Amino acid sequence: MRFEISLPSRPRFADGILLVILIVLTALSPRFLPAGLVGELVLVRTPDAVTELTLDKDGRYPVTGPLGTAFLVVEKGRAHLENAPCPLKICEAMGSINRSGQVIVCLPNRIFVKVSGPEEVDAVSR
Amino acid sequence: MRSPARITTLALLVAGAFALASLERVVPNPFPMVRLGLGNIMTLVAFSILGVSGGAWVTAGRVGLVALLWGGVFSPAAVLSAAGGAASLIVMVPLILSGRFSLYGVSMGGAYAHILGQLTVAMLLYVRSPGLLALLPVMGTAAILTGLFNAWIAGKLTGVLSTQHAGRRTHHAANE
Repeated sequence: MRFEISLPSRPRFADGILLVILIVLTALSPRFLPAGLVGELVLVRTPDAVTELTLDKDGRYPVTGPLGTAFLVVEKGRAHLENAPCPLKICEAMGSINRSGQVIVCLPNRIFVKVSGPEEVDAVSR
Repeated sequence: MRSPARITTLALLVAGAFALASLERVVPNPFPMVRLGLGNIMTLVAFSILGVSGGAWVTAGRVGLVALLWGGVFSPAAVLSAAGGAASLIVMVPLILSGRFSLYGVSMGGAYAHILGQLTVAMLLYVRSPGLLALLPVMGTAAILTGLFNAWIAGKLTGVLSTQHAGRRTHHAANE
């Protein structure tokens, strides 16, 4: 099974169009997010426990999963993860959250943090 | 069709993709959340010199080997890597067959599809929250940049390989 294909190594016109489309998609992607109101509580789920913390009080809370302990830092009404033990640290890259529906997830360490609040969406149908 | 030369080339490219993907996991990365996706370089080379099925085999081989060697066949990491690989093939193959794109468009489209596929499967299987889309600005920008970089490297590599193996390739083509 051998298709005759042409795959030049110099950029072509269509590549430029694709580049523009992808840049626009990336730049506009935050707008597709459900923009909840500022929430007061965060739900923290680890393999062992589900706890709820308030965003009103600053603090540094240990959250432990199978890989080790990270810290959920609450300051100025926002929460973010620090010192994550996972290899990719995507959870740290998810930044700090304060609006309902926003999440921080660490798949390898099985940690799930979510801001709960009045505007929360249960499901999104597409 | 299944000439020894083709199978050997394919095996080498799969091994190369596996080595690059492993290297990426071992070498410390100052931005761990962003993957270069170096394994895709070998997929692009396979598309160039072996055609559509070659690239598909290299992607499948890499995903399988990485899952076997780097922890659990059904671990979240392996499932997400398979999702990314499948999504990137679903996008790259039509881009190639359209005949309008170079390595750059195919590589960029594949890298972007890879993260979209991963995010979609993560949302469906593990997280169940659209909040995961918050990762798209960081991961999307990274996918565009690494896609362009990988296309550049793959272009260099394809150039070297096709001049070195020009004689063998004509012989190979005559057999088909």
